[in-house]
Amino acid sequence: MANNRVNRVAVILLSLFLAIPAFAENVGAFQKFSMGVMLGFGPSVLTNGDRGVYSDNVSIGFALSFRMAFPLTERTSLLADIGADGCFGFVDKSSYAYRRVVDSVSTSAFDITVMWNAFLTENFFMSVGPSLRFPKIKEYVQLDGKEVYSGEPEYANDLWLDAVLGLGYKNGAFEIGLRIGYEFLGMYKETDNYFETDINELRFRVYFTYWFGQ
Amino acid sequence: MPCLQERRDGIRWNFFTAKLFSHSCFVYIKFRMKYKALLLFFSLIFAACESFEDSYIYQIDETEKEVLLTDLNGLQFSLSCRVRSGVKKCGVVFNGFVPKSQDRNCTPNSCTYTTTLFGFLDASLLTLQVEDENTHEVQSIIAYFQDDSTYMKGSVYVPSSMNQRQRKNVGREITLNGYYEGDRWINLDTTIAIMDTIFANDEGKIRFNVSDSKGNRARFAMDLGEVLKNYGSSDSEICYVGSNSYDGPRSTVPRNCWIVNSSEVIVEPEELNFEFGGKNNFIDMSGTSCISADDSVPTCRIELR
Repeated sequence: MANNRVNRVAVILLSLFLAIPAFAENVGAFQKFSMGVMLGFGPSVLTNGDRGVYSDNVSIGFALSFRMAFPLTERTSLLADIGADGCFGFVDKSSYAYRRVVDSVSTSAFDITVMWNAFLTENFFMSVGPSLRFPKIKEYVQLDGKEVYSGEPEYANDLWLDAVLGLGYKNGAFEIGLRIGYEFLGMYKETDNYFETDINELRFRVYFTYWFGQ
Repeated sequence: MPCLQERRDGIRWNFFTAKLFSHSCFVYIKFRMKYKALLLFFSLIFAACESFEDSYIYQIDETEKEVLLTDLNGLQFSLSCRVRSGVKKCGVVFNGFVPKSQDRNCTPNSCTYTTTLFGFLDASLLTLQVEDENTHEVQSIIAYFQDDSTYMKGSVYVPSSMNQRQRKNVGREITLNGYYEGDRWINLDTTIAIMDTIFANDEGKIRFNVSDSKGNRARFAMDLGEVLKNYGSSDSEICYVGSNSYDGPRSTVPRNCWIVNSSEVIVEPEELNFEFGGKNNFIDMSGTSCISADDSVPTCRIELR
């Protein structure tokens, strides 16, 4: 059921990606201060280094942002996004005292992203910049199918910092693209009770933006 | 036009394949007739080499409310010694409960081992107490767990991935938010430092008893004086001890051990003041096969920690 929903969203985004260039008439670069809304969808992968904490380290994620564009030159601008990004769940299955343990972690984060945006052609652009993220991590632990814990763990990091690369196509009010972010401060932090884990999130979001007043 | 070309290629390929196949069959039949005995020999070898995996099933039978000694089939203890700065100490550690049942069901190809364990998800073990009769110190039996702590009612330990893999003070303590007193649940945070050992005194003698809130008691005594006298740090050998897994055979981990003669460990008769589940020994010295009932195993293993 969830997979069907995922497929449907992917088909819609792909259709938009193909349809928008067909109506290409306007120059994409921002000519004035603009505001828009963004909806994104795609996978997140936990890169664990040499310590695999979650056996199922891929999760579907989403992004929702309010966007602003400040033109700098004819083809470049500064983008500022304020929004939220989250993942539905990373899962680890293990055993404890002969019992099956399912540990799942979902994440959500309030994001502030600032990117330098440059149009390489009339409509295709590239963006790069940092994203400051304030995460909220929820962990659920089941023991033999019975939930024994749900809450925000003490090892959840308070701040994430992503390096973000965006590639996309903009025509008038419509923009579609792919955003890749790598979080390098670490999903978890070292505490008095837990060792450092080196878990970082690599996220891919195919997104669609509508810019007002273009 | 490209489609037609592809179709022609397909026909040519199929024809070639059929020819190759028929030729291979012919060669094989000819070879088979000539070397029938050889083929039969190799087929038997392959059949003999085919591996059949045994399966291991662990079931947990949950106990409720306060656990009494009469509810159990037995307690498992093992011997443990350590040598630090030339000082030798030996003792026993509690490492679990005798399983409720163990069944083996075999076919000619494989066996299925089904073990039913006592579960304490809805029960409290806090009222099972161990008294070291040398020192008269009394602690909950949970204090002597060495491996995974049995998950029980009121336990605030969460076996999450981070707790199992990244915790700094691994398994050193367990906190329970209450315990049963008869049928009544008492909310009282209780933290127990675990991995304790009931050490022998200077003469190598250990005496301890396990009791519950109803007055049931099992007493145990042993003498490790000869072991302390005859073995030192240079006598240790690598041995393998089991570790838990819910869906496979018990895996083993290497440890340092003294392999001692069974006559060097003297076990005195235990005292029981209650009827128990019909097993041979209420207190089972797992990993110390030297004290089996018929004394058929000549050596025993004493683990060094």
